[in-house]
Amino acid sequence: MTGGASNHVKSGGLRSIDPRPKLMLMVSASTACMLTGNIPHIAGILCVLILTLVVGGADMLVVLGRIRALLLLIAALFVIQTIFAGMDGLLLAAVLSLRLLVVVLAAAILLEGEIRDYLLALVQMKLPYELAFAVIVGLHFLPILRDEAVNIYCYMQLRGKDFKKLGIAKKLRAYSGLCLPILAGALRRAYETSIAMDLRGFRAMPGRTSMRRLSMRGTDVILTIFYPVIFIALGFIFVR
Amino acid sequence: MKTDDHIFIETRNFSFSYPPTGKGTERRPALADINLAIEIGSITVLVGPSGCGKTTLCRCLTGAIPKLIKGTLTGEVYIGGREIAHDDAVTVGALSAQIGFVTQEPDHQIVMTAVEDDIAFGPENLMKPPAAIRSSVDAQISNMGLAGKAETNPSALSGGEKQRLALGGILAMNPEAMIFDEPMSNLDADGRTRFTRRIKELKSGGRTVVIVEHDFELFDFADRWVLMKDGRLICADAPANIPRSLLEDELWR
Ligand SMILES: Nc1ncnc2c1ncn2[C@@H]1O[C@H](COP(=O)(O)OP(=O)(O)O)[C@@H](O)[C@H]1O
Ligand SMILES: [Mg+2]
Repeated sequence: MTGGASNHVKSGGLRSIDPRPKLMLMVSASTACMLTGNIPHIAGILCVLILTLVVGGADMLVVLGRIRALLLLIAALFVIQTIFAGMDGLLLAAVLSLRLLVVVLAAAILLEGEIRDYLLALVQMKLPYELAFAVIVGLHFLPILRDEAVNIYCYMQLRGKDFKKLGIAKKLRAYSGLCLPILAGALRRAYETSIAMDLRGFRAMPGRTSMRRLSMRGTDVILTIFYPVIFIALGFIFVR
Repeated sequence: MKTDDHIFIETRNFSFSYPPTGKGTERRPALADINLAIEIGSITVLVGPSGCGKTTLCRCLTGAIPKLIKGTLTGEVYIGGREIAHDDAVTVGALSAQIGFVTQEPDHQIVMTAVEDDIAFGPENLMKPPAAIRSSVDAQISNMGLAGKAETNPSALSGGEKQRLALGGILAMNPEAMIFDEPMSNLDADGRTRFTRRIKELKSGGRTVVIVEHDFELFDFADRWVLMKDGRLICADAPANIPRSLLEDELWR
C-alpha cells in the first residue's frame, strides 16, 4: 500500500501531465497576452486556459478558492482604474485585468502538479541545478515562516497582547515585534540548512545525478507544441 | 606529521571560539585543548551537559568548522592522516563522501519536498548512478519505518519520522564514518532499540561511528565513552574503565 489517497488525486487529467507542457503554457500564455492589446485575443487565451482546467479535471471549486483573493484584487484594480480614468480608461483597464487573469489562471494550472516535478523538469531542461535548488529551498522556507509566525503570535497573545483591541500605531509596533524574531529565526534556519546541504555533498561534484527521470508521452509532446501554436493562431484570427 | 593508519579522525591540541557577537564581549572558547583520536571501525559516544560543546566538536570532525563556520582556532584536525583545518585544498564537499553528519535538528537537514527525494539528495550530489540511488533509497525507506510515505512532504511527518528521515538521508550516502548529533531525541522506545541495533550493524560493517547521546548507558557496547564539560574532555575510555563515581554525577544526563 503506497499512499492510496495521494495516488488517487494524481491519476489522470492535469496532474498526470508532464510539467514541461504546463511550464510552456505559463510562458507562452503570459508572453502572448503581454504582446497583444486586443481584447478578443486575450479573451480567447483565457478560454483556452479555462478549457484546460475543466478538461484536465481540475476541481474548479478548489481552484477558485486558491485564487479568490487575487480575483478580488483584479476586480478592485479594474474598478479603481475606471473611476479615475473615466470611460476612456475602461478599455485599458479591461485589457490589464484580462492580462492579470491570464497570469493567475496559468499559475492555477501550474499548481495542478508537484513542486518536485517542476524542479526535476527544470534540471532536465538543463537549467543549472544550483538555480533550481535555490527555488526549492526558498519554497521550503515558506511553511516554516508561517509556522513560526503562528507560534510567535500565540506566544505574544499568551503574554497578554490582544491584537484586535490595539490601536493602529500599537498594532504596527506589535507586528514589527513579531517580524523581527521570525526573520531572525528564518535566517538562522537558512544558515543551518545551507551548512547541512554542504555536508550532504551539495556542489561537491562537477554535476549531479537524479534518481527520478521524467519522460514525455505523446500527449505531453503534443500539448507542449499545441499551446504556443494556438495562442499565436488566436492572434491571427482576432488581430488584423 | 602523519597519524597512525588505524586512526580515522584525530584532533590535536584543538581549541575553537565562535566569533564574538556583541561589542567587546569576550567568549570563552567553545572547545579547549581537545585531543581525541577516533579509530577506524570504532564506536564513540560523546556525553556532556547541554552547551558543553558536543555539537561544536562534531562540526570540527566533519570539517564544517572551520570550512563553513569561521572562528578562532588553534591546533589541528586530521582526517585519514591528512590535516584538514588549515588546508584550503580540502573542502567539506570532498569530505562529505567519507563522513556523514546527522544534525541535531532534523528540520535543519531536510531539504526536499518528498521523503524519497530527500533521502536521494546526498547520493545524487555524489553523482551515484540513478538505479543504485533508487535501491538504497528504497532500502532506507523500509529500514527507517517510512514505508508508504515515499511521496509524503516531510513537513507533514511527525518529529520521530523526521528524525528517521534525517538518519536515512545520511545512511543512504554510505560514508565510512558517521556522526550522529543526538539522533534519538525524538524517537520512541521502539525507535531507540532499532537505532542501537542499526549502530551495531554499522560497526560489524566496519564503519566508524560517533554518537552524541545523553542516554549513554544504551551504548554499553561502544568502544569508548567520551565525557565533556565546558568545552574540555574530562575522560575518554572504554565504558568498563570509566570510574562509576564519575558517571553517577547527574550532570551527564
Ligand atoms: N553558531 C554558533 N555561534 C556562536 N556560538 C555558538 C554557536 N553554536 C554554539 N555556540 C555556543 O557554543 C557553546 C557550545 O555549544 P554546542 O556545541 O551547541 O553545545 P552542545 O551541543 O553540547 O549542547 C555554547 O555556549 C553555544 O552557545
Ligand atoms: Mg548540541
